[in-house]
Amino acid sequence: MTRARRRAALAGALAATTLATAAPAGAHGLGGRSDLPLPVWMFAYGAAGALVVSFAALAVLWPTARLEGGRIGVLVPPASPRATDVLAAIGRIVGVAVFAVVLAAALFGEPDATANIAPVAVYVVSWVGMILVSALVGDGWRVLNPFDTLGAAVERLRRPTAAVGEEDEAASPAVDRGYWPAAVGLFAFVWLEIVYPDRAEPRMLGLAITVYTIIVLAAVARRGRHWLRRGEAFTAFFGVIAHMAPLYADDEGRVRLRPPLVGLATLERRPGLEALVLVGLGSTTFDGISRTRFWTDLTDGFAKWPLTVVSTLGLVWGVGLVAIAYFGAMRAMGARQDRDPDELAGAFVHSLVPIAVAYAVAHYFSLLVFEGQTALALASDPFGRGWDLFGTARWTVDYRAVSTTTIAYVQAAAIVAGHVAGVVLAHDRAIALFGKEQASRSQYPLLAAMVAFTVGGLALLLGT
Amino acid sequence: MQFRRARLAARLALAAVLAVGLAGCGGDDEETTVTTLSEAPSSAPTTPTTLAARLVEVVVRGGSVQGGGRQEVPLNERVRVRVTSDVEEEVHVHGYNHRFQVGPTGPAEITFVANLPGVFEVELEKSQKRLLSLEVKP
Repeated sequence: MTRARRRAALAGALAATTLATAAPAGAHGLGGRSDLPLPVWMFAYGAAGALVVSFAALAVLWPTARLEGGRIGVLVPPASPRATDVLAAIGRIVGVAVFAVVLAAALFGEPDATANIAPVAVYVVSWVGMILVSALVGDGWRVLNPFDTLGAAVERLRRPTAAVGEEDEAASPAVDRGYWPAAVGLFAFVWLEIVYPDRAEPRMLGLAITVYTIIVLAAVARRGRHWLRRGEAFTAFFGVIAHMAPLYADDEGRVRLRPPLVGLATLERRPGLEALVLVGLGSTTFDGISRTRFWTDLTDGFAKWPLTVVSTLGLVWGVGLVAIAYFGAMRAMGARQDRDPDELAGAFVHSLVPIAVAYAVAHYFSLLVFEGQTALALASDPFGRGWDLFGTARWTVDYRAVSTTTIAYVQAAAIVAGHVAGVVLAHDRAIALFGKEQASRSQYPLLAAMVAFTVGGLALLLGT
Repeated sequence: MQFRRARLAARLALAAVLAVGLAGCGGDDEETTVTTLSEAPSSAPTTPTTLAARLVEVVVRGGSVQGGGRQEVPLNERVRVRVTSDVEEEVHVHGYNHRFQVGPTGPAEITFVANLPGVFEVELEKSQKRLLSLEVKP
């Protein structure tokens, strides 16, 4: 145990010193293009729509809890077991192979950020792309998860005789930190993504991936692979988001199709879940703030390191802002209903998940559409050696693939849809907890917080 | 258990592959936008064009940027970015991917048609200092 911890500490220190001394390379943020400000009329309609829906929801929505326990859904017709086994193996191989290529490209490939596949693969495809897949399809990360595959290898090395997998739960120590390690990991990642000036510098990214992988595998060695589900940032975050997806795996591991969103009602409350979701939501909030003219004017003359400090504070502020709004609402709700606010915070946090996804879509949709094209081009030449593996190497980004009007519609629609989903989920949970007499009244504080998130989210798009 | 997990994983994999495949279709456009621009990024300062172009001017002196800010340009209008700097630097117009050198010898400029909508940063490449943002509006 201490050995793993010491190793992790060493790796962390190594990372810190290297990050601190990294030479300012010619790297800059990903994406050459930002979105135009949201048209004012779209902001007005979006905000008004969110308000109307919110109050209508209280009056009109169903009087009994309908979503509690989720929906079983229908079985997705199975292919032959043999075929699915092969597909699962392929998923794992693809996951590990892509991971290896990205890591190798980051460490040894072309040092220019725009000619190296690692930055776009990490920040655009694996992050934004996987958020969308998790929300709209199913837990794609679980299929590919390279940490799980590497973790299996680590377990096999440590306990070559034991059957791997079955005894995981029993072997874990009594202390359950729940989602806290993942929340910390996610914060570190979003800091790298949004704050750190050399975020796209391949060598730095390669080192960060290496260090993170070592820490994760050390934790797996100590606690078993099941730790990944709540401890590893991406497995945990994508896993939480995938609760809203239509495809899921039931207790027996069969794939089922259910209506979207209902699965969030089954999200298990564990310590740190609120932190994980709020980091996700708050980081996008700060990303929005940092793109506003207000922020760019404020930080314009700043040198690199003062800017890093200010942006770090900004990120903490962004997460703090949404946390204060949420916990404030829970406190008010607790006072009205004479309940423990902490318990309520765990009970309602699932209603923030669609809002967090909506923020991510609103802020990163165009990045995915445009820089996703860069990823396709670089896939042909991941190391910058002049290869053309898939014939896509010479593609350049078509900035007219999606019109600015479409982008604005997607942004406004995502935020309003996320709001509606959040209100519906919260309404249902309130009925389950407080009964229909109290449900509407109990919701005013959370509703106020959600309206603030929605109008605030739209307002940020207005100010870009 | 392992076996079941594997099967579930496989089915999710199928779905994921489908989704990624669909998403990929959007980018299959072979047409490149950068090459359609008539002006190649030139390092030498170009002489003022006879065609009318919107002039955007920035001065970098002692590490601070004067002028710049946010500049609105209507889509498909010609824009002329002129930079004066007291240090050797490379100016990079993001998105359009134009680069040109500037130095203490005199101002350098580039003229191009703003045919991509969006907000694009113009940056000093070495010091990563933002000179201005071009807001190209349809």
